[in-house]
Amino acid sequence: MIDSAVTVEMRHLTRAFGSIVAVRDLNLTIAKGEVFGLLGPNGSGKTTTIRMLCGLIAPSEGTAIVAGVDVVKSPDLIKERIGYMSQRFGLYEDLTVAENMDFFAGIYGLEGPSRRGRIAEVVSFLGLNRRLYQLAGTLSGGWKQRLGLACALMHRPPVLFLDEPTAGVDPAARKGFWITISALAGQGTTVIVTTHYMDEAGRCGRIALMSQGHLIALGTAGEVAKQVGGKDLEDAFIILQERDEQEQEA
Amino acid sequence: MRRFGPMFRKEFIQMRRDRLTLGIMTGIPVIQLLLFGFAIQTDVRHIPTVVLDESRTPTSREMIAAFVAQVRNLAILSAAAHSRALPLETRIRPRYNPGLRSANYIVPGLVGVILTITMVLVTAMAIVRERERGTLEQLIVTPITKTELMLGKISPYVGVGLVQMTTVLLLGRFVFDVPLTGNVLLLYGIAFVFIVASLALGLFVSTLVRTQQQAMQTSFFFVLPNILLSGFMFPRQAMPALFQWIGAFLPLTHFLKVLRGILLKGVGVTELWQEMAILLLFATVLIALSVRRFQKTLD
Repeated sequence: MIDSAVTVEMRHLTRAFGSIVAVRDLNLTIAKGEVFGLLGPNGSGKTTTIRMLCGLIAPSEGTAIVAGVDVVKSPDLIKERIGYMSQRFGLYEDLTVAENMDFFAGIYGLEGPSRRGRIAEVVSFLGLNRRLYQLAGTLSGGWKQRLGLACALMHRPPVLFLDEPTAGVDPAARKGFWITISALAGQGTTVIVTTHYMDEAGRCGRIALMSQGHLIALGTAGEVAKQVGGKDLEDAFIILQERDEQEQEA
Repeated sequence: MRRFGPMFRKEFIQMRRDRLTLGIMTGIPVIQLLLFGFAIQTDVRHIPTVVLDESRTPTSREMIAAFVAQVRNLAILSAAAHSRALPLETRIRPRYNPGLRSANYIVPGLVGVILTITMVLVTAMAIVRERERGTLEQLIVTPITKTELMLGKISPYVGVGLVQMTTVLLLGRFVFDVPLTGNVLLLYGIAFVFIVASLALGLFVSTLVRTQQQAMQTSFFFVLPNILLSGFMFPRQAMPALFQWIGAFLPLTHFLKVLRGILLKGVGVTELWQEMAILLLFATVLIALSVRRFQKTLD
């Protein structure tokens, strides 16, 4: 039996690239409607974890169940149940905003009136009305990120993965983006997000702090800071990074 | 295959917006045709001739002089020859291509060569470009199947190929006076299969390489044997057995027979069914291989 309140479950999730272990024995359970943050310095294994959960990289060991689907057994089926936004803008810069949305809606199997209806819904949800006929390549960072989110949401995925979604986005747009994320979570979407910004980590329900492929701490921002021994999250982060560097020198 | 439609439409819009590629695709046939059509002359001319006169008599010398005069006149197509009575008449009769028109031989072949170059290159770049720009990552996290992705990618270029072929055939007909003897509809039917095979070859190349530069280099590596070994310029019968055998593995070799057969000899399905079958086999196998090799992962 799969607990219906749990949408993501990782069991001994491990991935090695040659002799380097990027993610080591990760065990995590994420509830429906949770905004879950993955934090850690560069190279700590955040992106590899997300890519395994999306079926983009096969785990070396262990597995994960995402929205009721085993990522190792059915990496194709998983793609119908998740939305994914990478840190790099992955849409077509030579297509307009409307054409990009139309394409992804089509790829997610929406047709005819249901496609038009869903696009209209997403456009008003993200406020893209006035940008529809602009080429995606000419959009600013904040608008590109909104468009990326729009395309990832076309098929109403129960789980949304955001890999550093706010990198290169101005503060006002970042704030607006997080309001949108909260709204999505309120509707029952599970959001898993990696970030470098400490204020954003505070907006997550729980966070997992990773270092060198290991899970170091888990809980709310305050709990995580305390577990690592810092007075706040930023402090904890610096302590962690110094510890990593000492280990590397040793 | 319901996601084929959106993929096709997207590819078509992108192709239309990419002015440079579109220019290259339409410019190449015209430039190549004019270049090859005017420059390449495989006709045998200026043959040095020696006459061995063993008779060494005034009569024999007179005869040789008359012969030389006649050949010269023939060469400059003068009607009234220096009439010295000569009981001989000389005529040059080429056994191959009796009209001595290189264009008849080159232009039909050029249709195949141009299609090979552009179709292979364009598709080899197409998937690698998505990888380099980061759009492939977004695409493979959607439920699109590998077959839908591949077929959606190559389909718009089938139209481009048919336009290229029409351009070359029309220019060949009106600039170089190359005949269109046989059933043109049959030719387009077989050309369709050949274009798909070339696009599939490009797809296959794209699964072997990581960058656009590698894609371009690898494509040229495939294109050169096509020009040299297919029988486009040099007759295959004159090649060592090994190279004839390699040539048999190039789609262009078989399409050339179709092109020349239909355009120059006016032959039909009865004579060409083998070539048709082979081209169909090439297209199917290459698409299957590319789909197999393409991975919907980032590993």
